[in-house]
Amino acid sequence: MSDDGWSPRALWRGFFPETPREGADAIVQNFLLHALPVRITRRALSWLASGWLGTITLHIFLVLCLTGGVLLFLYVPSIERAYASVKDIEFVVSFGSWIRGTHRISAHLMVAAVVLHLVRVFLTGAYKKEGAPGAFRPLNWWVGIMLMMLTFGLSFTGYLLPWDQLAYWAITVGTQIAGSVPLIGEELRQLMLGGDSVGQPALLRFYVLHCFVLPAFMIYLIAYHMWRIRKDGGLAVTDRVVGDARETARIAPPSPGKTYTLMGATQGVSAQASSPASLLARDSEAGGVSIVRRTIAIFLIVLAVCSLLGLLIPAQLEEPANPAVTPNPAKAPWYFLWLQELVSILTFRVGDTLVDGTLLGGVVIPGILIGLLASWPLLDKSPAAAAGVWFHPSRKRQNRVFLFLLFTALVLTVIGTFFRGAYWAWVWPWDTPHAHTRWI
Amino acid sequence: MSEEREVSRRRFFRWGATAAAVVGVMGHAAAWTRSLVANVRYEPPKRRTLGAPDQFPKGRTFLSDEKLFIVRDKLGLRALSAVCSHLGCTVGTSKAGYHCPCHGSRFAADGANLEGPAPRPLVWYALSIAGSGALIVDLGKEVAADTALELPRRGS
Amino acid sequence: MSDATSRFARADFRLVVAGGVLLLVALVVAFVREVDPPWSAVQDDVRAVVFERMGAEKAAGVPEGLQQIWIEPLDRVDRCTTCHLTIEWSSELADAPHPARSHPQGLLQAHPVQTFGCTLCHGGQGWATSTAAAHGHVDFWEEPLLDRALAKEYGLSRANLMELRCAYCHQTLEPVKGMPLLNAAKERVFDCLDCHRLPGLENEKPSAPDLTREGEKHPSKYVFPPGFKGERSALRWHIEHLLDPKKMSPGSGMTKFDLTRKDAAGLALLVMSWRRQGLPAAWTPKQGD
Repeated sequence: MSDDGWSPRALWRGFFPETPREGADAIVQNFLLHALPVRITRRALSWLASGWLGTITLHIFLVLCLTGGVLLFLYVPSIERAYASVKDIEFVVSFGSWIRGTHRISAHLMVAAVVLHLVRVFLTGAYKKEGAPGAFRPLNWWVGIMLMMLTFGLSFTGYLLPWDQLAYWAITVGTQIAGSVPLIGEELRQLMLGGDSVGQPALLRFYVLHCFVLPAFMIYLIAYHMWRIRKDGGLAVTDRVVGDARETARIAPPSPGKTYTLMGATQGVSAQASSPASLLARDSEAGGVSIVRRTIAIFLIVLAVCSLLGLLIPAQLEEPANPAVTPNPAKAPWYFLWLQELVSILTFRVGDTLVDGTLLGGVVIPGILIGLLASWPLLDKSPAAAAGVWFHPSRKRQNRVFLFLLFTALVLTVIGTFFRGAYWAWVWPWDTPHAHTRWI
Repeated sequence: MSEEREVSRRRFFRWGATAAAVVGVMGHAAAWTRSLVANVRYEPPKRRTLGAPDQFPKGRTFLSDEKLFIVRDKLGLRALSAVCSHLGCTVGTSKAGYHCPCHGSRFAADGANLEGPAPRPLVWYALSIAGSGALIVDLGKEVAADTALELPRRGS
Repeated sequence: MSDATSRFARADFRLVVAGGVLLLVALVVAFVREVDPPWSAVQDDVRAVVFERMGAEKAAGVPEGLQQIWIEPLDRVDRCTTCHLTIEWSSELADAPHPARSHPQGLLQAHPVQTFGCTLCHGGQGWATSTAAAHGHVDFWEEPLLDRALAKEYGLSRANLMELRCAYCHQTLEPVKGMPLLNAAKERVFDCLDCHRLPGLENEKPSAPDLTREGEKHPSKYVFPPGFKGERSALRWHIEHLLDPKKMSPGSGMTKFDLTRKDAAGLALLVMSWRRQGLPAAWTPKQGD
């Protein structure tokens, strides 16, 4: 590579490649780079194909691990000390309020980034089972769904740790919803709480889940998720690039095992100029350079945005947990508000039968939605050419269904956030909020 | 237009940006590390009230909270630290002095280190009487072995 | 190198520049906040007052940095002394402007600052290190500083209002020195025994709600009549209810006693002090105290 433009040479001195061949070798020779592809197409590298939302999510998770690691030293998971230790983080720990603010805002951003990532993958048909030989993208779609659920799980468990009113009542409601599961509900609830009521065993359980169990699964699944991208031949858009190259070359496809990973491209130096391999070589870049450079840029931007927002938006801490007083309204975090809204509006009476909104909104509907998402790659009958293309015409109808569901959840979330007041009654955002009665 | 200047300008920018990024990230790491240095202490104060001076009989009285021996003899009242000068274990009494259970250091009645690994004598702390008449020890203030708090005679 | 490569490289370079600059901005803001916390200027002011009144030597003895009083048996922390640095100093600072003012000695004899801290009697948020948060005038903090302005809302002196917090520990129907308003209320409270059950006083056939733990009732559980004017608080509810029971709870069978507003406030504070004490044995005041 020439000296033009910026490259992370300063950080990777010594193995910064001077030729494409060296770039390919670096992937093999350097442990840190071994997970990266030798070549990456320009279309995959552009922001339009994927928004790099997965990488962004990964780096938000990294910021969460770093700030979480610091908070781990400062927080005490006991119902007597938890709230006080968070107050100390806010008031006397150097940079404590900033670190906690960064951790909290990053958690919110990660939920948003994960959902956007899912939306992108859906709308580009990147989960489709039709792909290059050896590729099976639905598997990564399923891993992605698990990662999304882990993200929700991490958010929820993290939310409970300060042991303030928000935390206490979120645990109470959350475990009660688990308790509405038929047959095993009550056992499940007791397993989560470590007893009948919300107390020290519950806090310790959610703490271990938040700080060890869920992150451990997360890290394992993220590694698998990224490895699967390689196994599936890169982003789905790469299939289109390969297809286009073949189309341009108008020759019979060579052995597919070589080109789909682009490995053939780097070795195709002596091939005819019109072969797909050489066309691909022209339209791609050395992965070790381009992806590392892009990753560093994304890491810096993500850290900077999380850090600045953490400074500007301090994390809240409500009153200490008080089993005697339920806040009014007791609201879930925003990404669960559509479910809370469902729980609320799906509880009604038909004649003498009470429809159980808790089971419907808290368990059945989320279960159906997850099941629907998971089975979607198997239901999708659009042609292979629809993979890796935004809004492919053949997927018009399913995109509409998906966007409708998404939009509904969004509307319910907005209603739950801005239009619900005391006793979950309808309020307008411009209404004066219900004044709290003081002690004195 | 000198191409050389253009190249050096680019190189300057490249290094500047890299430096900003590195300093930015390392600065965050430094701040996060600084947060682990405790700014407040959850510890009892150095000056502690020990109660009425009369409650300490002749001889040595061990106070486990303060890790102190209150010694009462003809000099008056003195406070000897029970923390071994070697590695901080709590010493016990022996017939003539003090004996550390961890590494066997022996100390004389005046706190002098006699044998074992202890490098220094045991420490004596300043005693005083508060306005309320209570005995006060200042664990931040060391005194010589023979500095005693003379007590007013009873009945006088 | 082709044009496209340099296009990506340049775009990413711009991101790196933006990231680096934003990171530095965040760092600078965070460090400025850390180096200059809200209490640091206050400490300078206190030192200036001490310098002016007591000279350079004394001013040099004013503590620096975060201060805290840890009351281990009660699991409480008060950081008020971070700003109120000279609270235990001599009477030379008795009329100094806050927060340099020293505390009157009388009550401190029985309640040393290092043992009792500040918020136990005064209210406020001991954890906090900024004025608004420490004085408790913030969201999610239920025990504000019982200051003059707050007392004035109820037509009381600050000392009278603070008797509520005295009574949290001094739970007795005997008169206690220094609590004139509640002592007067205690004389009157025996009339309530006709219908109510009161702490420490049995009533075999109560015909009205049990008041033994009335002070634990959370403000959110008080029902105000529609169109109630003014700030809503548990204390106000009790005062208004004592003055006119039917106005606050329609249909109430309680007698409308002939009380002045101050009498009612005293009784209301007394009722609100009836909550579980939760003190370690060594902290429980002796009878008659």
